[in-house]
Amino acid sequence: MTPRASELGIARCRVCGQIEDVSILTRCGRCGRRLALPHPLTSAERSLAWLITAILLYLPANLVPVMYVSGIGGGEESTIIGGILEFWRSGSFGIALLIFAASVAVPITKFVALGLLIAMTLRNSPAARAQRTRLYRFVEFIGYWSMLDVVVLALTCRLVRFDALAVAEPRPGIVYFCAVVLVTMISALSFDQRSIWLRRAAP
Amino acid sequence: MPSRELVFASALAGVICIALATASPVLTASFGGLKTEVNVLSAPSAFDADGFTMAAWVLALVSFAVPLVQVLALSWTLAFARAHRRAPGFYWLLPVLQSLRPWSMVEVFFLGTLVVMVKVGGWVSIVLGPGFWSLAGFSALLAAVHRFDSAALWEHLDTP
Repeated sequence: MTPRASELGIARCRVCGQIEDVSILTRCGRCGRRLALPHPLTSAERSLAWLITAILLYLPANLVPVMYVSGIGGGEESTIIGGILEFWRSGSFGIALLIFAASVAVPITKFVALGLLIAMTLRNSPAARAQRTRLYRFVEFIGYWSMLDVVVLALTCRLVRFDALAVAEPRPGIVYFCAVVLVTMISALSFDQRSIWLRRAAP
Repeated sequence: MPSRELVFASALAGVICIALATASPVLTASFGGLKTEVNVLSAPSAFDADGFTMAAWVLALVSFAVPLVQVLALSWTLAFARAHRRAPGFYWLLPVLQSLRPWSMVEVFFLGTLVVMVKVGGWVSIVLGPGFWSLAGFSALLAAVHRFDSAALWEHLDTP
């Protein structure tokens, strides 16, 4: 079995990347930052707590309206899903798919992927470690595209302010949605990817 | 990884781009004789109502403040690195640069302007402002900036 860095008592400094001997040093010799060995549970548990928060926030983010548009013919509130359906019905399939990807597919993929990574680390699973590392990098990469809907809404509400003719206003759903994006990103960032590779002795 | 010279040039050009995208309109809309416009800095004020403050701050941070600090800090650090020196503040700027990376969302903002062009452009006439092109340029420049591993500078500039 190939030894792990932590089993040899060495660790890579998170700030400058220097490899140091943690059995004699507590701080990095080059940049002076504290050295940390991957902890088997802490990062996964912290990440799990953020993930649960994100999933809970995702409910109001989808149920509460995100936008109100008023015009001469009265006003109407819409949710994220409602907005996507409206694009689809009006024939803008590309936009509908793009917003669906950013607002629905990306968050749900992140929930499933992070849940899987956390569960496998917590259960000390030796399976598919290289693939799990790749999955983690993928989650990191797709994460911030979810912010697309917040940007689109802000731009729309700033532009569509034509007094009595047409006015678009934000509704509280977008605050929940914004929180979902932040909290899922924090969840992914607090997961220490080195913990995928840890081997723990059976209890 | 892109060369340090290329990243330095991109970061400097990025400072100019973000300045333009805040000083000039990104999109202008006109409808029924009324005209509205939006730029990178004014977009978050769409959330100026009570209860939306969090969304306003998040948007201002990820689309303006973080990218600005990122290109400024990188230009500063690389300007000194060209002379094989560690910039003043190197010790704390480098970790800051690393932790800002996931929170810089200029590309997302740019894609958002494209979506709005199609979305709102369907029933209102939309004109692209100079800010739009600076934003497009900035997104392209950040591709080089984001492929650069700033932690490698610790190694190249090992002795202060």
